[in-house]
Amino acid sequence: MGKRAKDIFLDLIDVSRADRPDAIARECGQDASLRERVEALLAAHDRASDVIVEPTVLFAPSRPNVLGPIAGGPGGGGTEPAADLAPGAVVGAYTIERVLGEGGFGTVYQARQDAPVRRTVALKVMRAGLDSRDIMARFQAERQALAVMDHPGIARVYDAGATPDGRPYFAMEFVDGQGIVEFCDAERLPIRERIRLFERVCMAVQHAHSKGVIHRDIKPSNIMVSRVDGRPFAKVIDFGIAKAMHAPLVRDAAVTLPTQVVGTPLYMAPEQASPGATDIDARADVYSLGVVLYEMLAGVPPFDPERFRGKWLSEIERIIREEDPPRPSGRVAALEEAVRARIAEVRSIDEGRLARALASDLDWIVMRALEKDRNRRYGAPLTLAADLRRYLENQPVEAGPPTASYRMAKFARRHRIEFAAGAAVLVAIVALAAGSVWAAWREHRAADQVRRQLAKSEALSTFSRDILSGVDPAVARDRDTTLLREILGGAGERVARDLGEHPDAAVEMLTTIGFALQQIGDMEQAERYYRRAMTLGEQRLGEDAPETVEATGNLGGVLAFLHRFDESEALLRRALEARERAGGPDHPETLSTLSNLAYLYDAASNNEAARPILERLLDVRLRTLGPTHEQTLLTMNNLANTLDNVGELDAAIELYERVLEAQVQSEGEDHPRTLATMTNLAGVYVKAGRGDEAAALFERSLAAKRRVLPAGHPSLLVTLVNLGSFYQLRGNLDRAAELLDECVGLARAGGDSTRMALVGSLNAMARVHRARGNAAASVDASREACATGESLFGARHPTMVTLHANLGISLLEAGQAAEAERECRAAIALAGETIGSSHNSTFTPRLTLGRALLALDRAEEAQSILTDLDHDESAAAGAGEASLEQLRSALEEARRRAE
Amino acid sequence: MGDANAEAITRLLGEIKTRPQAAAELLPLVYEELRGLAKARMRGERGDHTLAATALVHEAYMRIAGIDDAHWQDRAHFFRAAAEAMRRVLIDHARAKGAVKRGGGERPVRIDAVDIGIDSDPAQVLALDEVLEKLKSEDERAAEVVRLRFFTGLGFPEIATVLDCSERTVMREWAFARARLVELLQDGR
Repeated sequence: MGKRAKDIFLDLIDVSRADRPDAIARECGQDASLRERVEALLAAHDRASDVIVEPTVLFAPSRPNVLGPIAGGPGGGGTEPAADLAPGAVVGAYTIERVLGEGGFGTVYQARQDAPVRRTVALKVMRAGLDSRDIMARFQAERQALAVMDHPGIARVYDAGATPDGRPYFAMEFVDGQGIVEFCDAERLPIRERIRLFERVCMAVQHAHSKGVIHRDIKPSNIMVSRVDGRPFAKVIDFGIAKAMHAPLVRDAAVTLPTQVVGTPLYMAPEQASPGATDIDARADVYSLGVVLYEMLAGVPPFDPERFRGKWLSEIERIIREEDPPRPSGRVAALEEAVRARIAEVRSIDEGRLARALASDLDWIVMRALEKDRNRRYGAPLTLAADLRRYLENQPVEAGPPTASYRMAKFARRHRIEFAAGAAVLVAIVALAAGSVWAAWREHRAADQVRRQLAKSEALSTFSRDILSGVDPAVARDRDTTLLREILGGAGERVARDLGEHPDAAVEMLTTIGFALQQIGDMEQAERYYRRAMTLGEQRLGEDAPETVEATGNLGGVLAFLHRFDESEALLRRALEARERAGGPDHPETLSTLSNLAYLYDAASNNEAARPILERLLDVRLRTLGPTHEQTLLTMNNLANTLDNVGELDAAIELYERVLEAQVQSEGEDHPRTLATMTNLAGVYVKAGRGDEAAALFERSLAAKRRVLPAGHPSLLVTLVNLGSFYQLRGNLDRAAELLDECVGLARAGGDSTRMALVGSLNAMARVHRARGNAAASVDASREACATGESLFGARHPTMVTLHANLGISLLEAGQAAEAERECRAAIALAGETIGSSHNSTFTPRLTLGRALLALDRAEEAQSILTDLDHDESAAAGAGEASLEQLRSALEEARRRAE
Repeated sequence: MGDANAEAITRLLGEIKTRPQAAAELLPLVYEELRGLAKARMRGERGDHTLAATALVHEAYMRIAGIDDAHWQDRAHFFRAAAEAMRRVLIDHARAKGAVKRGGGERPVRIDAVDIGIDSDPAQVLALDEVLEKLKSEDERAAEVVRLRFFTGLGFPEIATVLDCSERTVMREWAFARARLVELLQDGR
């Protein structure tokens, strides 16, 4: 490629297409090949304009941009580009008078029209390079609709055409004024006046919608405000332009990326912020109006424009699609002191009152307009306006706080503990993911301010709402929880210092912190905070105060999780009685305590006590909440687990499948609750002998958990154990070892809350080692499983029967028959004391004991033990065919050798 | 990938002024660093799943230098190395993935640098690399601008500093490179 072709090309890219042929001829002269090269490059350049998105440039509007479109920033755009039409220049029927501004697509001029009518117009001239024919065609399609729009709040679009060099232009009603945010601040309008002004904007946009015209690019600089007869008067400009400018958004062909990104991303609705967004309706305008309202109220847009600077467009779009912005009041609270003071000042209000004015009603209205899912938004500008009207008239607003994350947070706070028993192994672990983590991460810069606010009891609600709410796994992907822990720790210290005067707030705060810790899986710390809360509550508020009862119930729940059953049961019973007294048997708080109690009994393997409680709960919830409500599903899940435990597998499977279907539908594949259900259902499939279904479900849940959870999360470990054991049983030892090794490593590092997973994974790993003939390693793993289990459950726990028996098998295979005998006898003795000497858990230790005795050449003893076992039907219940075969052949050998 | 690696990179960056060959030693270390980060991402250990190349480079940079006390000269060396290292990480990954995935080639290639990442279509990554190599043989500096832009996400002013030329030059190189890449990708010549 000649150097010269490159230089000529670069000189010519700014020349308009119409002028190019002459310029090429001039530069290249007679050199045909040079000319061909230059033309090819220019053609590629024109195509490239459609290929490469240039968001870095997009948000640096002060820089002249020859490479891609510049979307106007929030302030209204750049300063430099080609304002090439001089005053006096004639474009169609219009004579240019002066430049009004630079917009995203070109330059806006003030121009004069003389015929057929004499008027001043705003002439928007697009920059070169956009396909004017397409734009004109789309404008013509829109024209009929534009013509019937007749509203004082909407600037008319008169005409569209093309300049002589082929650039499209639009002639619009000339509106003198300022952008709405600018105007409100300059005039220091108070909040209520801002809302009244905004209400009228809504009505204007509503008018356009009723004529079938959607704006698609509503932003403050498109809402011009001036004073008419002393009153602020708003006019929406650019109606119909965005639609006409919008290239058909197809991304499937090689070179079709929409460079003409319509709309400033800050104000763009999530459904617009995706490649190939074609299904745009009036609710996109509702969203943009919501952002404008947000900025009018809070002084800043929901997303910090700084965050968008220099980001690739796809990243910006992702933020708009996925991140939940903070509520206006929270956003304001998180701003720097000086900025906040200034914002309050131009609203003629003091700082403290500003926060209060925004909190609740206005927060809710704005957030309803900003819902990611347009079905949850106000359906039309009219309904947004109506809710604002209710606010102005002090009526209850419709919006309320019903965003998904809010409701879920509420739900989660009420419903302290969920359980999900991994059925294949002896592990039951709370499977609620680190829900609040993301919210904390988002707000971490605001941590200082928030901590300061904690001094005031009114800030408590802000804290718990903005920092600790949002149990939304879509945004709670595996963020680092270190930061959250720090924030919580800091908040905890503050509580004692700053909330001494407000014991009720202090108790609630400590409980909230405990809950957040519980959510991120730190049960030991959660216990500490709950206990502090309970003790403080008992001392200062009384045992029956709702705050105290809540702390008591939560503490009970966490202790159940930590397998400290006796204390847990006492606390939960106490909380239950207090709640039944206060709210009756069907009250949600009563029910959630009941649910925790059921969890306790489940964790304590007391299925007889758990089952009736769960059936009572499910009955109430089906009746009051319906079959697909989160809480109904949860209870269904828990009951299914209990049914599984008592061996009613088909009933359990049926319930689990119902739960899973509903959860996938409403919460998606990655939701912690969905995942818990998958694990549970897969476990029952295993028991029911439906191995292929189980494997598929296990892998599905493991993949999802790896996406969502941090590496050492208890819930991830459960899946690893389950899947590892499962593969071990199916003979896929390599995959089993891989998963179990990972689990053992993570669980060892994880402390108390992962000890159960450690027991499970070691136990399963021992089996893998045995199957591979690595007896020594198998003994090590079994021993560690035993020791860990003992430290976790205590020496007399029924689970120890299995662990001792497994150690016995490992020892026997390692040739240490005497030690095997000791372990098996310990297991059998323990079973006799706890679950009964004919329980099916005794099958393995008895069989192994018999085999050990054979190995020790004590055939007669072996024969007696094995014969007993052979006659013990209840012990053999559930034993696999292979085990029975092993028993038969051992018995035969014992008889032979005894003679 | 341990912090020892990050420390070694920091040390090399400090030595570049006095010991020019340090720049060459930088590349394998930066490669290791980026590969480690990419691997950690893929295992879902941290962050989101976009695995955008530029995000990885910046994460690596933050780890290595910290943002406050980095000198621009150091940064320039780092980003030049990082652009090349990131390219290799992506190519290696695409090759590995391409080997088990479909043969590739039938899908049209988009060159919106925006989406380049570990999870990009391997066929696209390889195709892009091929045309970048071609461009490099024709015009070294234009290719360097593209590499910095695609694989480190630097803006024009920063690229100008890294390459020690004017911003206008960078923008011109970019305009040319872009047209040339479109030609190569779409027309194959």
